[in-house]
Amino acid sequence: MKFLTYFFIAIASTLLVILLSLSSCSPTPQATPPPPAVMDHPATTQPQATTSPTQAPPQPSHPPTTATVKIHNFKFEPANVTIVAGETVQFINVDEEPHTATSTEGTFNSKALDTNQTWNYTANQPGSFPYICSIHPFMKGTLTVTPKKT
Amino acid sequence: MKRRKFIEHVSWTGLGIVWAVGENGLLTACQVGTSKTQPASTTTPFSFVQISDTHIGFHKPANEHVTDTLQKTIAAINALPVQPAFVVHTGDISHLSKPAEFDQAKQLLSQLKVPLFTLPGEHDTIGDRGKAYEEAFPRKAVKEGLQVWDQGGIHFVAVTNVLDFGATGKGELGQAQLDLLTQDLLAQKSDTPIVVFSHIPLYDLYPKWGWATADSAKLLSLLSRFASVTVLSGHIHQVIQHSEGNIRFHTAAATAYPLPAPGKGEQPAPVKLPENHLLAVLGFRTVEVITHQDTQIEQHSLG
Ligand SMILES: [Cu+2]
Repeated sequence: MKFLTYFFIAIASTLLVILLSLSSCSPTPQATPPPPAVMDHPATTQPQATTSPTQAPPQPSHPPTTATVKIHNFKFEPANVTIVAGETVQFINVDEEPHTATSTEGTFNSKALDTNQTWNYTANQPGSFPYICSIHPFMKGTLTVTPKKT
Repeated sequence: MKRRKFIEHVSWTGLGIVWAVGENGLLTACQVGTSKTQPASTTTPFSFVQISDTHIGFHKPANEHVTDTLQKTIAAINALPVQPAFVVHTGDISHLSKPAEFDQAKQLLSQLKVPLFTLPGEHDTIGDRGKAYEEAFPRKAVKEGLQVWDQGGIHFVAVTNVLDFGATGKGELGQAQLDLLTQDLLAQKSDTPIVVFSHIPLYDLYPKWGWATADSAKLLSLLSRFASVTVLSGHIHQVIQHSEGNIRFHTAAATAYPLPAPGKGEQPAPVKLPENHLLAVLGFRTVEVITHQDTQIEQHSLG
């Protein structure tokens, strides 16, 4: 049964091709596609941009790091780190895959860390900052920053 | 070149009727081909190509020559007997969002003979939420990450779901993009074939590795009234098919390297294969939308 319908299609296709080739108009559909249609509603807001610095603040010499997060086997180790405001945490990726440390609220965002690359982040604002790897967002950690003791 | 044919949901009887109409209304058929206003009743199969996950800048053992495998892919597309209407790249053009990676990818992809559409993957938006990517691959009329266009009687929808993430790292469309999708899809006729492109799959393929989109339910419900919906995604570097009601989901092979099958192994890390096995799992695919119900997908592997 299926064979018969396939056969019919073959005949029909052949006929159509012959008829089309005999006609004077040239059936060259979609040779050059039209540009994408402009959507009929104006943009309200642009995708929100990260307002935080995307790299450690420029400093002549590296501030001493007080905590280290090793990125290993698709995990932040340790996943929870606490520092005091003004202190610096260093992220080091020891995986073959690249990773990032990206605050889910936009407070900080490393560039891509390739194998053995490090990134230092000096936290000035106290609070609890959940973060992920934006390449493997199932990877999660939390950076806790406590206020400076006076 | 090996080919595997996936014939999806093909109603041959319907196809015969459309061809018969084409023969009766020969003049109409010709006009349809050249008119932009009446593409809905085209009888000529409309085809395009999907490529994905080229990861230019990747140099690890799983594929030390990602530019070569992309070159091979481009050569194979340019050699297709029937040129597609366009090529769509469903994300992860680059590996680390570096300007040099975008430049190289752009240079390679410019060898394609047909227009290129792109959408970002999470590897393209590292550190700047896709700013450098958009500069290298500017997209027309993108709003809130959404790009839509009509071509060949088909409504195309390309979404962005790699900028924010839900629980277990699922992709997110975001409310602003969902609002635009609602407006756009409500305005379409239910017999218009819909083709959706996303980087991260739009159904729960493997949530544990983030292979899902947290807020896709709203989009899928908007799509449920259409006669023909095809969702083409990337991200997972392997071909997996799935259907929910009228919606057919297909993930694409990469041109760079394979990832493990869902849950195989501890992490979704690149899989190292012998050279000949590698080429067999890399490639692209052609997609033909034949009638209002039928989508035919043909997988082309590099080896
Ligand atoms: Cu990661």
